[in-house]
Amino acid sequence: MRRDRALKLLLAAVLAGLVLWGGLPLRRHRHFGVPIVKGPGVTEVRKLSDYSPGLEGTMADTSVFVLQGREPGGKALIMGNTHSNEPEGMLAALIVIENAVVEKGTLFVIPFFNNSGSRNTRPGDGYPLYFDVATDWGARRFRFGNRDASPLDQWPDPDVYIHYPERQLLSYIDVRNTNRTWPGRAGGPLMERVTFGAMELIRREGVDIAVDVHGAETMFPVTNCIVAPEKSVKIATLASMTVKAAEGFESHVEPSPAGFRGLSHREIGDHSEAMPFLLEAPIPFLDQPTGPKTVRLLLDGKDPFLLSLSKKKKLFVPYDEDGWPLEKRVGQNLSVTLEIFRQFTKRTAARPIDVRGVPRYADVVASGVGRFLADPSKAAPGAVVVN
Amino acid sequence: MPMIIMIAYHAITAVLLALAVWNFIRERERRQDLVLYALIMVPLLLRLLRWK
Repeated sequence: MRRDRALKLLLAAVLAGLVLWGGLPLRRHRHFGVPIVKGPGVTEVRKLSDYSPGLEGTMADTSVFVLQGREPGGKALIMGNTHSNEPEGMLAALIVIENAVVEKGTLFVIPFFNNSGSRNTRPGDGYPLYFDVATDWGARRFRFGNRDASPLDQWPDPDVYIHYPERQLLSYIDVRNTNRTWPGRAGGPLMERVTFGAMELIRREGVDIAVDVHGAETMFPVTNCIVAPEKSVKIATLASMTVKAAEGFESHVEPSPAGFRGLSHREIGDHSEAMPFLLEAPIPFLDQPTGPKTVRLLLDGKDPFLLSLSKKKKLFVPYDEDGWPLEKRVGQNLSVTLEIFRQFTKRTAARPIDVRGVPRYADVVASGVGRFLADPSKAAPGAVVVN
Repeated sequence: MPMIIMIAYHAITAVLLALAVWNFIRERERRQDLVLYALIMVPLLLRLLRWK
């Protein structure tokens, strides 16, 4: 009897240990706040729930940074972390927030678009919970999330996700994927409320350009590109040609398929006046046949298995011993975004978007991403927003 | 509707956890079952605590 009780106590202690050992890091990750420094161009910080009240008080609500220009002009929206395991989008958005000065027009920047997804992880793939970017003043830590929102915030998943309003049948998991739930609805599942908030922002503010910044596998054909629907394709093509000629990197144009619903590059254009663009930079970390999913692979993009596949011409991008580092991916996203603004301004002189202070591809490749990230500990009081 | 299902799901999780705890306390003969009850409780606890 006494031995039984001792065994039970031991097992209960082991159980408690397992729960704490496995669960506490996940809890800490879910509640880890990323400090964002309001740069010289930030004039206001709003919440996405200002446009979609159904988000208020949920983990999916997120900050919207407004950079009002000195002169009026066109309006653009930049979204990062639509997929929170593609940090080159979030970092590009963060660099804009912390560095940009808008001369003409207005920028709206949402660095953590799928905020719930950035608090989720993929333990089955051994995802790291955080990654650090080296800076001149030390390391800056970020949450590394998952493609989809956390089931703690949106559950249950349906057997099949029926897209609203087209009723196309999509994979069940896409109900938590903020690049399948566009254009969303006010009272839909949580991720539809997120995309509805962005659609409302676009419609109410009269946004001209919406840039959704992503990363994609090197073995996926839609990578290293700008995805654009019919209404955006001219500007996308000019931006693609210009960055190739002037900055020496490739980012070809992919047409947005009209029959595939729920994607930002399709639905934003179909449900508003805005021209959508989706940027894809190659991120080796997301490829399936790689070594362990380490922070190092995430940052430098070097993997021997991909190198071997590259020699067999199985990848859709050039790949060598240098990998595909974060600097290239973020720099590429920034240059293409700036070039889209420039091409839009050339074609629509009445609504110029003139942004200064944002580094381009060569600057980021030469100096590193961290060079353009501010130190939150040295920011002025009230200049840090925790997301 | 999803909110109602979510609440029902947590209620079911709590009931299952209570059953596992009850069986764990009552079990006197099969030690293997004790270990199994303890293991079963891990995901139920994590979900009820909203950690995973």
